[in-house]
Amino acid sequence: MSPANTSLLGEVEQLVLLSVLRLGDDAYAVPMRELIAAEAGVSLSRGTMYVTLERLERKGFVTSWFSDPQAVRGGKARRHFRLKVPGLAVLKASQSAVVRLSRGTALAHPVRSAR
Amino acid sequence: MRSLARAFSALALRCVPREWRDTVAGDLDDEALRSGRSGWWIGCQAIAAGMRLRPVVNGDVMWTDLRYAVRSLLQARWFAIGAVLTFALGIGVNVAVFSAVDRMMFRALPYDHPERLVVMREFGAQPVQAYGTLPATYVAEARRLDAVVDASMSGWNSLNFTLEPEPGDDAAFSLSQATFNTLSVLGVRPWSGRDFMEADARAENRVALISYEVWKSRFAGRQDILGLQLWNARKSTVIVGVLPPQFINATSFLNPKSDGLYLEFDLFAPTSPRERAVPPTVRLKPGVTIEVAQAQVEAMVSRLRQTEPALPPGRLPSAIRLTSLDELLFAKYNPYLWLVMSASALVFLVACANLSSLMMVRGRSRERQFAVHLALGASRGRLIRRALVEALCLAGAGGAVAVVVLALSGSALARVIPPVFSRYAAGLVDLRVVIALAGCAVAGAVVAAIGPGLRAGRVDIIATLQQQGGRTSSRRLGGRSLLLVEAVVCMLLVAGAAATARSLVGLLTVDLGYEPRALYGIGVFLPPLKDPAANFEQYMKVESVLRSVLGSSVASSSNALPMDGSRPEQLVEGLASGSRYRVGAGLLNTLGARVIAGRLIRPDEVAARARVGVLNKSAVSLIWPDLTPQQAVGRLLESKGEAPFEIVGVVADMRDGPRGSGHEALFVPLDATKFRFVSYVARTADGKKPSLVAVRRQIKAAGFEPRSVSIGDFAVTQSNSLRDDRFRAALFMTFGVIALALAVVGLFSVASFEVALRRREMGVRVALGATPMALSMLVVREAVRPVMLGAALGLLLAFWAGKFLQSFLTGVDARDPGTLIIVAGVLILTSSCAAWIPARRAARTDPATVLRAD
Repeated sequence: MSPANTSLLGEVEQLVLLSVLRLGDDAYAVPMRELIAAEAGVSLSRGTMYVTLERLERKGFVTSWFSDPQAVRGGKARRHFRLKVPGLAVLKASQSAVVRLSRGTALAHPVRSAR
Repeated sequence: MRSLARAFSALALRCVPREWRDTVAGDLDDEALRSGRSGWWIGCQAIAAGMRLRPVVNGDVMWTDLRYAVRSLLQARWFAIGAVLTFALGIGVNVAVFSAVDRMMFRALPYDHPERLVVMREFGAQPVQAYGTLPATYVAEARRLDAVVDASMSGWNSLNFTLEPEPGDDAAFSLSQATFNTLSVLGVRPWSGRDFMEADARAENRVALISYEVWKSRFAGRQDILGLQLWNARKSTVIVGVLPPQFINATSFLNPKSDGLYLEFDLFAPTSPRERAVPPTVRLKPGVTIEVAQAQVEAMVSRLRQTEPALPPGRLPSAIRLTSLDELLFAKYNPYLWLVMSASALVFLVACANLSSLMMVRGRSRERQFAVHLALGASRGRLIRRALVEALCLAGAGGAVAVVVLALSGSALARVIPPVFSRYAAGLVDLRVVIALAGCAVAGAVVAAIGPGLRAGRVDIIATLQQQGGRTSSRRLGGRSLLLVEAVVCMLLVAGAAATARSLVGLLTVDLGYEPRALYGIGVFLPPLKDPAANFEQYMKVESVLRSVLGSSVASSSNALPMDGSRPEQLVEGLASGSRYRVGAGLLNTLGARVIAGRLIRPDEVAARARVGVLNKSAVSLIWPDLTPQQAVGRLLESKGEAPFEIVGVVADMRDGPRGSGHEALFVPLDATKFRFVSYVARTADGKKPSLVAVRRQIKAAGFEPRSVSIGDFAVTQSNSLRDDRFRAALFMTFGVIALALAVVGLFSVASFEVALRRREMGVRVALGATPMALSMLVVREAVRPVMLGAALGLLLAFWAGKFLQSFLTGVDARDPGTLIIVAGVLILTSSCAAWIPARRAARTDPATVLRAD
């Protein structure tokens, strides 16, 4: 068992990082919010999304860059996000911590119900 | 709209920290394009995102404090509502009143160099009372004095003008007569068109200048107003110009109904040496003082009097004096305005005290919260800043509600304010007043709010958290002191309200001696005939025509009536006072005169011009002081040089207004040889005002060509005479109710706080056997104690201050002890009710819960 890892992610931070992971190069705030709402059923406000991304970037878990402006009249550049190695590591650590803690519980081994 | 939305969104994006601005802008653009949202949506989303990002990105805690303050106030919504209402009422109502009073008391008159404008008046042997006119030659000569630029006359005569030669039922325009140089003397130029010219006066061209407000409201600002004709008595008057906005003719300050000025002829060319003119407005030359001008006027008068006939022996010459226009117009209203401003200031004081009390209570109730924050590492500065932000949020919300209150109070003020002030009252808000009042209120709230924060640094955190604070009595002293101040002020205002209300009720219920409701005066001016008998006959025929239109209640009189204050003829020769009124058949009946003894004059007696008469009660007391009215009936009233009158009845005195007293009067039948014109009165069955068009049509159908027909409403005249009293009563009652409401809010807050503070004590009392009623009475008694003390002090103060209010009351003593005691009782009772709710909360204290919490 690995030594106790004190740097685990909060619930919202996990959701945001997972959405960045899933969207890959297309990860920017708008589709990330939509994916979290659709898959996790959690409606994050725009402000919460930005604040979480700001914190994650400060912690060095994600990096960001601006794409080219959109190909429409008045189109603006989008700020995309990508998971960094430390971010992936902490995401894995958080996920494993959940898995380890749920060993021996009904969450890990669902009990077949009698007919 | 789209460019406005784009501008809004660009501005809103400034709320977002610079590092995230492009990100947020790009994302919002993206979503807006996909879902068809507008720039307004982008702007709102940007603001929300910015408020979330700022504390994290910039460490900008002000946004955090703002959100915290808003959330905190929403949780304590009753406190917030009380504080916002206090702020709004204290500011909103007072801004309206102070703005109006400021314009009347402290602003210069709206003329060019108003300090150089004076009015020339003639004073008789009693120097206090000025005559209404002075010799016209004095006015003409005054214009040529070295000290004088020019002199003008205006406002002594008003005529009603209409748009058609034959007036209908639409409201007429009331224009005041003026000389050609009225505007130039005042230093004012027309808004459009031209001023009056001396050539107009010389040629006797009838021209008019209408007011800007009438041009906008009655003519919809039409561009072709110049050259439009107005009509009076079938004579046309051409509009040559529009007066500037908010123009008030100097001598028409007391006649707000003037819709403009008209010029008819040259008043500076007296047609006879005995002709008299109204007091002129004189413009002095720059640098000339009133004293220098007065000396020149006196020298002029001395010179002119050498050509005048000598005065009768024993009669003193009159004096011609100059008075500053500002002093003349407003000096007599200054005590009134000071009264209004004092009442308003008292309400403002109550509001500030209340606001401070609420903030103080709020702060003290959060001492435990402050202790927790301090224990978690917050600095005292941070606590103070949070309290400050909360106070400013309340001030902002209160200010927004104050704008609504201001709008409502401004329009309400315009409806009840006396006409002389009405042009100042509505619509204009003085920014200086807003800043001063809002500044005081905000300062009071801020000081009261940050006080607990300042104190927090000295608080024993452990002791506070263990609820073993210092002596509670010292903490309650501040709130109670404010309650005492509020109670004193409330006593003053409510006592004033009671006195003015009683005065108004007394005036409304005074016996006028006749019934003005549904009573109308009809003036018909026919072309005069040379033969007096024929002249009289045509008026009697018109009376028959009016009866056919309006019913049998129509009656006539040959001159003025007692209720309009006129004194047409001496009652009898040799009598010092009293007037004689010549009346047609049924006039006294139509007026609703109350018969005290005997009967009224019969129609056959009028037709036969019998030597009969009806006296009023005052006349009987004057003529036969030893007789009762009943004993006066049947007696003969002798008059030198004519046959005596048999007195057939005595009626009650008819007052010329609620404040007037009936003077001695004798009513005798109309006499065809002794009249100049006849006027009529009618009492309509349905109470409605007769139609001017219908009346005129019937008169013309009967073959008459009246020069003018007018209809006046007696009830409206009486009602208008009470407008000042109505305003004072409304003002004091409004201020009294607001002060009482504010005091109730303050008392409720202080009592609630004390109950919260003494929860443990209440629990101990209940554990020791105190009943809920005993606990409730304890809370009410202690909460009302400062109010009782304040009421006692306020009673003494109201007794002393009554002398300032007395001059505005009629038939009521401002210092009436009974009224003052009742007012004190109302205040204490209201306060007891306000303290009852927190008292009931104290009565429900569960000792087990409270003591276990320790």
